[in-house]
Amino acid sequence: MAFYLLEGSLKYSKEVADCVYNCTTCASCEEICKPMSNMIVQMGGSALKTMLPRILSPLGAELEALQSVAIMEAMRADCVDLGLQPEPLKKTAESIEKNHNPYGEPHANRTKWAEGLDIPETADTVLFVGCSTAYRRQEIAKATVKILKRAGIKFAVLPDEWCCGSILLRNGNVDIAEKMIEHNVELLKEKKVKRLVTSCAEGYMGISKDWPQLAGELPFKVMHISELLAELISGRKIKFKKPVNLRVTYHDPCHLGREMDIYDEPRAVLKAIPGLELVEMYPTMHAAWCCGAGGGVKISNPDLALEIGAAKIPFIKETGATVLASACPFCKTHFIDVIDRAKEPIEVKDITELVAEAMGV
Amino acid sequence: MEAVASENIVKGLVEIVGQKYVRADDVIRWTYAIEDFAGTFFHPLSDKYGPPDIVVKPHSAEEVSKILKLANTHKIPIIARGGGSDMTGAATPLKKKGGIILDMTDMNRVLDFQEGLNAVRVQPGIRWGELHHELAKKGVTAGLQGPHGFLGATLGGGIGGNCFSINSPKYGWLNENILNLQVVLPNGDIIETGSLANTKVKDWYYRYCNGPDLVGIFLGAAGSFGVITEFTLRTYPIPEYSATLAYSFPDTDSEIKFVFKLEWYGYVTDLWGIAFFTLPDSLKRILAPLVGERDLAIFATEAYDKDIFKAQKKAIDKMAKEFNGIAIPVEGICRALGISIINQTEWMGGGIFGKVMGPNGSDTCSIAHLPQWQRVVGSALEIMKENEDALSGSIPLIGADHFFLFAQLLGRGGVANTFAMTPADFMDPENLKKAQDLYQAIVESYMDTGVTALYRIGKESQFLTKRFKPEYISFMKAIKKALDPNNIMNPGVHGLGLEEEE
Repeated sequence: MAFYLLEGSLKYSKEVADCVYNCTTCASCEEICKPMSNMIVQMGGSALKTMLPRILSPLGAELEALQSVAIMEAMRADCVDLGLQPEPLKKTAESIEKNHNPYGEPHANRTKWAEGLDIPETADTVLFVGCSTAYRRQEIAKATVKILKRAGIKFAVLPDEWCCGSILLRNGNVDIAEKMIEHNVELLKEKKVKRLVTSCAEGYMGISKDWPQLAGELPFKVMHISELLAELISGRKIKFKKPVNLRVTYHDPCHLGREMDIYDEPRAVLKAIPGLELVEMYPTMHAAWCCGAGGGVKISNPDLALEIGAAKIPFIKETGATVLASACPFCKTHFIDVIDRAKEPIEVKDITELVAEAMGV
Repeated sequence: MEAVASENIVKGLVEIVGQKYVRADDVIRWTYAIEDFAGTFFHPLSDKYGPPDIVVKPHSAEEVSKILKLANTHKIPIIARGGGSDMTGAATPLKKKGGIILDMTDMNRVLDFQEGLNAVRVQPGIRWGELHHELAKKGVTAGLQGPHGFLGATLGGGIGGNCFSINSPKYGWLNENILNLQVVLPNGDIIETGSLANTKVKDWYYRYCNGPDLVGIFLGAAGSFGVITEFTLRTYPIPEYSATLAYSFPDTDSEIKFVFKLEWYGYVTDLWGIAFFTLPDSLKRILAPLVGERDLAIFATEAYDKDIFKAQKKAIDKMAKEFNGIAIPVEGICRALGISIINQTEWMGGGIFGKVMGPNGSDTCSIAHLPQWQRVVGSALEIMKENEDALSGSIPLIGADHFFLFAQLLGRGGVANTFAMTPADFMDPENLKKAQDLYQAIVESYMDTGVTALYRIGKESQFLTKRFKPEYISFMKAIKKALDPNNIMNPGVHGLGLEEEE
């Protein structure tokens, strides 16, 4: 489509916009079109991952996949410029500009979930909560806070945290995204933050990939909560007190897996929980299917999002798991909707909730 | 297509498959106007091709039958399409013809599998990844791992395009594994072949019975004689023992003789080779210090029994030494790194050639008889060296302007790939034209050797029609005319269905 738009056979129109905005930006297409070098890296694991670029780079060889998602986002930015963005996404962008979150909630309520938890506003480590966790999945925020406190991590939550801008960039609202990113980066610099931790997969990708592109090199380290939890578990900073006797299957969030290559850490965390049996579903990891909510699809085309999510149910059931675990608040919200509609006896939990349960906090 | 006719046809199609599965808007039409894999656009993309008028998704043979009847009434071309990575135009309409694309990807179910059947009945839109998953649950394998689109490719597309596959040296090409078909003929009749022709037979699949083998004419036909709506595929037990082995050889001749014998004895599951003389300097500089200026064969071997497996590896080693082969100890490294050239089901796969060829490149979809391989690629290599300027749009994996993979062994009987890439910058008409000319020149040079064939022809039939024996063309035309008198089935494929313009 992009080719024919460039070449001129196809013109931007409402139909083009509808099609472009039906993409969940899950990056499966990039996975399919990965160059051979990436495939080999993927097949070979960490040893090859280090070795191969060293061999290939003097040859001028390419390790980057075709940037299909970036092309999709560029087409969306064109749609925004031409006034073709679907109405629900326009409203989302407006809400973010006004309230600094996509849910239309007052900014003042952003840390309402933290009332009574006694969380400082200054520390070297900041828990960047993210809009979905702060307004819709407070249980993830609370579980994260409990785990970090019990593990002895000194951290802060910033009441003036704004939307990370990732959803805006995915949807082509580049100007508003820049404002959000600029604000957040300035705030974190001002607070002299050394490490940012987030439990949001989309936020983690946006902060790691998009922020440096728009705001320059970041003066702090960025971690997804699964990375920190894996580190704390292997360093024996997290102690489990009770078994969680559940058969669990793990859903790889697209923005954490394919986009950020984080597959092992969430699995290491789940496997460390006593009593928990982790069963892989098919397809998994690089080939995992999207939940259906990403790229603004849950907002612009909720029925399609539910349909995509529902396609995963047979694979989840096939594992015999009673719990679907994920490491993304938006995936969790969406799977709750999908599973409710399908009336399946599957519970959806974030990895932080399972860890907190096993820690007895 | 005239607007009024188009409107009536859309209405008719909606009645058959429902509103949701019929699209005639520009955005959908144009997304079906290209063939693509791994970001590598269909090379001969030119004014010859264009978008379909309508895209429709059927869900049963009965729906396909009604659609074909409707298309016959209005004399509109029908192009069945799977994943759309054919690369020779088989899945794209001719601009002057347009037509209806039958997107078969919703017909993707496993229909029948029974213990002891050694075969699986599926619909053509099933993807290799889904098939592997379903078969693994039954403890069997298709043997083949999939074509260049790997796990995301549809099997139906592979049947229409005569696809080879990872592991074809052991298990044969996809079409060698097909037992029975259900086909919707152009007039809308639904037929079943072989043992299934008997109305009493429900789930016994044998190909060579009840008269002549009518399966063959539909395989590799790219939907020009009918639309395949079901087929039966052989299955195999999963080999318990497998290894990746490698040997270097002093020259290409020795390597080819070894590979030929290896395949003849049935020891090889899949094989990739590198002929030193075809490599660009950049790769020569890397390989020479490692293995000398020698050719390489990297391959997988497998067996069902431990003792047989050990004996097989010993026999392979003896065979390699016969041709002055030196073993390269890759088995342990491969195991440690988790690499096997035959086990590719863990990743989504696809597009392995994409960046090897560079953006917008194309391979030549050609094969040669292995013992003649040097002669075939030698002439193409000369052409490529003379035209390096035309290849400047390339960013191939190895950082060079041309690249040959030595004789990836593609099948039984010493069938080898003759891979050549001709990359182009699509936004630069001059560069595109040069690359297209080069593509033509290379394929012409291949075909003139007399030991090369195009396994996939699609609508790029110009190389063949002038070389086909007249009686062969007449026979094909007679079949086409008998089955498809209105020339609605994928006109242009194999040069058929364009008689009125001759």
